[in-house]
Amino acid sequence: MRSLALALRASWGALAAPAAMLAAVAYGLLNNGWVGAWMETAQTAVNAFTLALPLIVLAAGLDAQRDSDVSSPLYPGRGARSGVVITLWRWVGITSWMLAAFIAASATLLITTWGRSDPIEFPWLVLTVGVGWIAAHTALGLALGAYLPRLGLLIVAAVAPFLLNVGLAYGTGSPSALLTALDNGVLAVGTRLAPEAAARQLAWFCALTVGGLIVATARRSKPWLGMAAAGVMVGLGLVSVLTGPGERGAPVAEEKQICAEGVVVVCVWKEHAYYLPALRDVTDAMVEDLDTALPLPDRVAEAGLALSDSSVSFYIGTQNAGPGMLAEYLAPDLVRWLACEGTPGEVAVSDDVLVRERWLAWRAVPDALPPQAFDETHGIPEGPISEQVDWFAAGLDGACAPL
Amino acid sequence: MTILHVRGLEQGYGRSLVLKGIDLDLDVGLTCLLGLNGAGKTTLLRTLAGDLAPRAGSVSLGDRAGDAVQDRASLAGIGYLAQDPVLPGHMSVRDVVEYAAWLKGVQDRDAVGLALEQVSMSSQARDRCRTLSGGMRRRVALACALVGLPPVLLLDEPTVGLDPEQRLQLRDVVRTVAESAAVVVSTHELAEVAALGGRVIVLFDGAVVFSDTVEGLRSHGPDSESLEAGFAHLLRQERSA
Repeated sequence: MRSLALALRASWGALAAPAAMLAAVAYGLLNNGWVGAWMETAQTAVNAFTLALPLIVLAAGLDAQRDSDVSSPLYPGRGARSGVVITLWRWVGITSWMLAAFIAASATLLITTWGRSDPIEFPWLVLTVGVGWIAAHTALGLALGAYLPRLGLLIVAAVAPFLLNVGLAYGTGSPSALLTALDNGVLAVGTRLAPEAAARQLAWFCALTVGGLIVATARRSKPWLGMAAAGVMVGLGLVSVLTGPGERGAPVAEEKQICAEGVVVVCVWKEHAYYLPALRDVTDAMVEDLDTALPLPDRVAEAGLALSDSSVSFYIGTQNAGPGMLAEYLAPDLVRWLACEGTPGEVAVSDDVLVRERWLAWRAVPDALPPQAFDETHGIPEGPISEQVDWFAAGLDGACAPL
Repeated sequence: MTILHVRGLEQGYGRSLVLKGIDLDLDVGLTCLLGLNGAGKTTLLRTLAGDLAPRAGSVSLGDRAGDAVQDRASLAGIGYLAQDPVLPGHMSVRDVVEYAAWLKGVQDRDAVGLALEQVSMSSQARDRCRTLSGGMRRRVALACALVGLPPVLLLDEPTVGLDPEQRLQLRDVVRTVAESAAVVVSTHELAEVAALGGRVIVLFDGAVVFSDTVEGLRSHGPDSESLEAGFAHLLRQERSA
């Protein structure tokens, strides 16, 4: 414990950790991280800490440079401790500081969003991405600090994490699952983390961490070992990029769905059971007057659930979705289904189609759409409901382009 | 009692050979390592401290078998103060010395306090290093070298840049430590040698050319009048040789 306490006191992390936390908090505020749903908090925390990664690399690099001067009484080559022990000791010090900052930032996000969203299972797994990145970046910083002069460290520390994270990891168009940090996409409702993706991700974190530590340790005694470790890391990255994307998520069993009877059957993933009553009301309101004029689907199912021959699928994209937002989500899919009468097809975007989508949403939740939403097109149709239904059906004639 | 044995030690940078077969036995007590600039004093001390791997020769500590500069346990028995020590400014004095103790594997919990006491820095233990004067920094670095009471202490020009009072204080510390350890003080100032006393080793062009007492060096000159005369005579002899 004395060694750990000393590692903490000796580390530049004592200065960098509060700054990293402040950066994460600022990111959260600027990106509305604080007002979002708490399901998204985990991803926000990880993303917020991406901003702090250069600082983490820099602090670790400074830790490596702290006593690298031969004039320092702390020059590690003179002591009884081996280079491996010293590198690990430094790594534990800086990593502990940064993990503390990450936990503090995540906890702040959690506390401030607590109770402001739906009772959806919190994706704790996403937080492990932050832990993995911090462990890897502190090792990377130690390696850079062992070789680069102060100015070089400043420049590379600012650039390297963004290359790793923005260029390779966080972009949704990332060419490789190995280089892609896990995000909510992996953990979308109805999807579980593919074990292979988790293993690849863990392997990449471990490769970065262990490789970085070897490179840092080999600085004095075995430069060839450091070169070899760096080569292995680069090779792993290249192999990952060249082997192409892997499957990050796998669908869970359909037994995870929950359905409600109404005018049509409405089904969602169990995790979204919270939405089911509102969604059934919205669906009922949308279709109850149409069934005399148009062929209705038997079933409205959340995306990812298996469809019957006569069902429409839509996507719940945002948490905290109230009835108005659910109506907006559902309307385009329902319009497409109705226009194509259940056959595969696409509906081209046009004013006629758009106003009918809005009419559907407005019928279900009149307060959901402002009047001007209709002014942009042709205005809300007036008259008895039967005339409105006729107007709706007439607008969909010929709108479907079969696939 | 001989504590450090050096045999046939060679050291160099690139193609140049700086130390040319040094043989040396260090006993408990004070030894001044005297030489002109570039004679190889710092290279010798850094090699003995384990900073540089020797090109040839061996260094052994006490009865311990094997090469001291290759053996980490032996290295922990050698304290070294660099010529211009660099301290991490953001760390406290106590943390720096505790860090040095950790690096040496010193287990004694009182060692840090004792080292700070030896250099009269106990009252500044909580101060950040960046707030210290040059003399205080050197004393902190000396505490790092002293912590754990190593049997060998190597000090590279320890009084350079110190004011007269600080020099006197540091000499007192060095003399006290030399009562129980082999202390080597490197210097190119004869006044420092005269003030410290003890044994004198003269290094010239990478080789030991003189090893005796201060009086012995003084009497080396033609008229035995001064250290300067003795040293100058020695150098003339070596150059002509």
